[in-house]
Amino acid sequence: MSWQAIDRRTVPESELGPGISQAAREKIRHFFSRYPTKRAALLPALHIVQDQIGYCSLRAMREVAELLEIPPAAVMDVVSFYTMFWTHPRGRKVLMLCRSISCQVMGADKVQAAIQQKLGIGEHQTTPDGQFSFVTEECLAACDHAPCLMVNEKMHKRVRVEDLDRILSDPDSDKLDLPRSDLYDAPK
Amino acid sequence: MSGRLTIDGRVVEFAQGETILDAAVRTGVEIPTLCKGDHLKPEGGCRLCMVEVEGRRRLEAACHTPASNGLVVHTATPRLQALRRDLLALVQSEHGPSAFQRASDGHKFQRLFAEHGRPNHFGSASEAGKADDSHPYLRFDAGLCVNCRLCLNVCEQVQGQFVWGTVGRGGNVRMAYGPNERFDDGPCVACGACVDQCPTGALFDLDRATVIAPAAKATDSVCGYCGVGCRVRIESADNRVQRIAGVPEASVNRGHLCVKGRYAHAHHHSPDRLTQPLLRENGGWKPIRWEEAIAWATARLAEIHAKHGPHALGAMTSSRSTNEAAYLLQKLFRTRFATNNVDCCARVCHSSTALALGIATGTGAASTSYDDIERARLIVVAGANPTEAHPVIGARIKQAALRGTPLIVIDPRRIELAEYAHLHLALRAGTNVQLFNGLAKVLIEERLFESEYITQRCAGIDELRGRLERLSLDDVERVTGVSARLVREAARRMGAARPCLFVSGLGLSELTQGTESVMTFCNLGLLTGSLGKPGAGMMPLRGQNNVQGNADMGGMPDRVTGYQKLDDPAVLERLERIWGKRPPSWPGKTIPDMLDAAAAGEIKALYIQGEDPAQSDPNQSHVIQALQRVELLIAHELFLSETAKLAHIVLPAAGVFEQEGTFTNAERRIQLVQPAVDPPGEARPDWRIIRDVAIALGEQWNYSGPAEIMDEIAKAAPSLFGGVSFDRLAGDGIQWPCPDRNHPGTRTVHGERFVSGKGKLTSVDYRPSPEKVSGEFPYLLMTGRVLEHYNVGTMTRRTPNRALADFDALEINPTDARRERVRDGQRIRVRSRWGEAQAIARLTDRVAAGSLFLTFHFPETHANLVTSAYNDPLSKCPEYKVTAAAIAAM
Ligand code: SF4
Ligand code: SF4
Ligand code: FES
Ligand code: FES
Repeated sequence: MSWQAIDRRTVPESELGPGISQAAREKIRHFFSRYPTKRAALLPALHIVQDQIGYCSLRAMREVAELLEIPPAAVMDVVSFYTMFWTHPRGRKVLMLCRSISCQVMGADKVQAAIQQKLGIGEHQTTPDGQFSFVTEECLAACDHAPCLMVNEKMHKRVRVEDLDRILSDPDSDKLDLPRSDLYDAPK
Repeated sequence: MSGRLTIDGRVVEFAQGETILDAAVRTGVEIPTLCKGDHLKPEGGCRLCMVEVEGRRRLEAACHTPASNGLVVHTATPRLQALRRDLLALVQSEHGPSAFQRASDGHKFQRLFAEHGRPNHFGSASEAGKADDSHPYLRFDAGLCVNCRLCLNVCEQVQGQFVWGTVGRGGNVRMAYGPNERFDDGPCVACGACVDQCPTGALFDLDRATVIAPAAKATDSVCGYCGVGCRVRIESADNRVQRIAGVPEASVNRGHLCVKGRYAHAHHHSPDRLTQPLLRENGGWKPIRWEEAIAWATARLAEIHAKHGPHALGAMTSSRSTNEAAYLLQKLFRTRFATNNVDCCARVCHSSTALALGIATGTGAASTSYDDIERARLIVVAGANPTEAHPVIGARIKQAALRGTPLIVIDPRRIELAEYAHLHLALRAGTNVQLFNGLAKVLIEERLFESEYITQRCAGIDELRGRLERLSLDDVERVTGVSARLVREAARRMGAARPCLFVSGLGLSELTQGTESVMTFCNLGLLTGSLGKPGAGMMPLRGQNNVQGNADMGGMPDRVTGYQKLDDPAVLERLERIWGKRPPSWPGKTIPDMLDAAAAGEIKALYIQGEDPAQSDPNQSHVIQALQRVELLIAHELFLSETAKLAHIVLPAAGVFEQEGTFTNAERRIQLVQPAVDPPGEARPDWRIIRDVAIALGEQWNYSGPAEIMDEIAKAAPSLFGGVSFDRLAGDGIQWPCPDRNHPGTRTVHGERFVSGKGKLTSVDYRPSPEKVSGEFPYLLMTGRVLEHYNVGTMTRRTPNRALADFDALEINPTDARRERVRDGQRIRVRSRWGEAQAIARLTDRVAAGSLFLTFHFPETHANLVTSAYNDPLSKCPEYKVTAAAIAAM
């Protein structure tokens, strides 16, 4: 559509970041038959992109737009709405600390201060070795175990400042059996 | 529902579908709004338009609450005033303290502050960052944005570009150009509509960013670029154009414009404008006074005429200048020099269209009006790329398609509209006749045509049926590359939706079979019973702002003003009465014939008013030779163009914003052109130069101005223009035919009957172009335009549009590029049997493998050295659209 016809390319190719692979495209196309419109496949498409590239690069967002026949702006609307989508590279492990009321009451603030001090990064930042990124999140839906911290797919409950060293040094602190986009089982 | 309601004590009638706000606006009650734009769907976000409705406890947003019978509405109670102050204070609190002082007067937001006293009781955030001024024309200052989403809505609902999105959520939401960080990167076409809507000045035109004083003067006129003919409001001060806006109530564009019309006006103040007559002397230019120039030119013209007779002279009228100028130039040559050697550049674009439609229906112009786009049941776009070449019409067609009007695009390239089309028939360039015949065959065989219309109003059905019986859809598929299935489906859709709207462009006419392409296209219009019906008919999109008017005025060798025949004694008599002299009845030469005659030494003097054939006409080397050979070449020009460089004398002309007169657009609408600024130096309007030349040649021409010339035009061609006069042209002008002063003008031609009596179906076979691909020249090269530039770029290249597109691109399919080892962005050489050009490669699958597409906006490209010398034997229109070519990386 128009976003393809007009193509100014003022940003150099080298700054667009990686694009999506053929396999990822196929995977995205599999979702089309599930929904009444291609646009509706946007969320699974973005998860697939993030699984492949690690974040939603500018090039990938444009490619998704083209694939789904929607404006790139519609892709960005969604990417920027959900905190789990990243527009720049993130660390291997993303620490997501709950900032909603129950966790706050139970001491999330202290945990946050400790994480930032240990890793030396602020919100939405990544350690120089590419190991960790840190964000705060709205309620993670486990308030009865507050305060909660997710590391990638894995939930850590009732986290205290003393637990942090263990969590940060455990190589398996994020291990869940399935990669996230496979939670959406593509139709056969 | 319609009915009555009461607003602030006044009883107001409302119509079906109106909101409380609509009704209030009509009564003159002002309800403050922030997020509602004219002609846009209500956004309902700002809540500033809240009103109290008696009997309802909650407040209602006037902009999206339907009016209903008996409502009693109050718009300015203390409760509402307090609410509005709070809302404004909240909006303001999100911005730095000085935010809204930056964008000064005139914006809606400042007016709201003026009314409500700049409430600030919620404090304000810290100062915002820097504005984005990456774009040559548009600036976005997020620090002033109040998230009213008007830019997003106008961009989607009027231009159809979908640039804007909202990034983030909750209190952090902000407007952004989707994932792009810079305004100049992405789908924005710089139509400027969002700037007009923005209530705070967050979006701003850079062309007036440096202007401190508000414009002193606003002049309504007509855009000088394309044949759409948008009405513009030119704001000027100190004799300089400051800013151009669309006229909101204009029928053609409803306030909308494109990047050329709105922003590309800097060429007017370009330092290389011609300001004095120039005489060639010893290989250089000598500036001379007007009296000398006119005397010199007329003496030479008279001398050549006396020595070699009428056949030795020729004139080209300008499609860029006014009707009045074109009329005078053809009159001068037809009377003083007794020659019909007058032609205009319509020859090299739409002569085939005009000829074809003339033969089929009796008039070469559109049968439709632009308003038919919104009323159409199905739109066919063939050989036209309106979103780039006729952007405001392109936007209207795109919006129609987005609203669900079925769209069929017939074009070798995947043009922007093809993305919105229900069907895209990507035919091989130049095979239109075959495809249209195939479509006609299905319409006839499946009895999908309008049989009563055909039997009663048209001739030629039996012959057409007979001929098409011999054609098989397999042949159509083989020649055009469009599958028989697709051809059938397209025809069935047309048949089912009939009558339909048929939009066409130069992709049909600039072919050796150009005239026949348009005739067979017109067959589809006739078969579907479309001509003469509202929302349907033939809509050829004209190239230049006044190419329609130029032909109308008689800028053609075989017809005189108003397309009147030269062999009609009644016409000649009438003209003799008005002109004092009878024009000759022998037809004159077309532009290609004049150039041939010039090259052969038969034509010795050429008078070229504001055209640049040395760059714009095909087979450039031949044209240059011809122009070099004539003894006298007179040129009216704004700049020292390629043609002017060859002239013996160059007369500096006024630009579109510097003169008075009329232009006629592609829907036959004659609109008033008014001067906003003075011409630079001694430049003069074309009509005045021609009048003075005539006077110097001894003619009794004492026209005081264009209005008087138009009165004479009305007398010269009464059946088309009899009722046209300047005092009737205010606002939207008049669509011809307009035979008398009480006639309102004509929206739809051929309503009751065809101008020629009966519509004529054409039976003709496809003939392949003499340009054939071969081992040596394996690609089919097409030429065309891009949005940012206008034709040979004389005007647009002298504006910041150059920053948007600064070279000619050769579009090439990635598979071909791989074979030729061409990378994107690489400089390449394009070669044909005729010559060679250079351009930058752009890899895109918009062109099919085996095809190339080249633009012709930059003289250094020499696109027209590559194009062939072939033309349509019927119309003499050159074949710009198909040339066999080869490419090589440089
Ligand atoms: S200038 Fe036109 S295309 Fe560009 S963002 Fe504004 S409305 Fe959209
Ligand atoms: S569409 Fe044509 S007439 Fe309208 S503003 Fe653009 S160039 Fe001018
Ligand atoms: S508040 Fe933290 S998980 Fe719900
Ligand atoms: S104008 Fe009605 S909600 Fe903004």
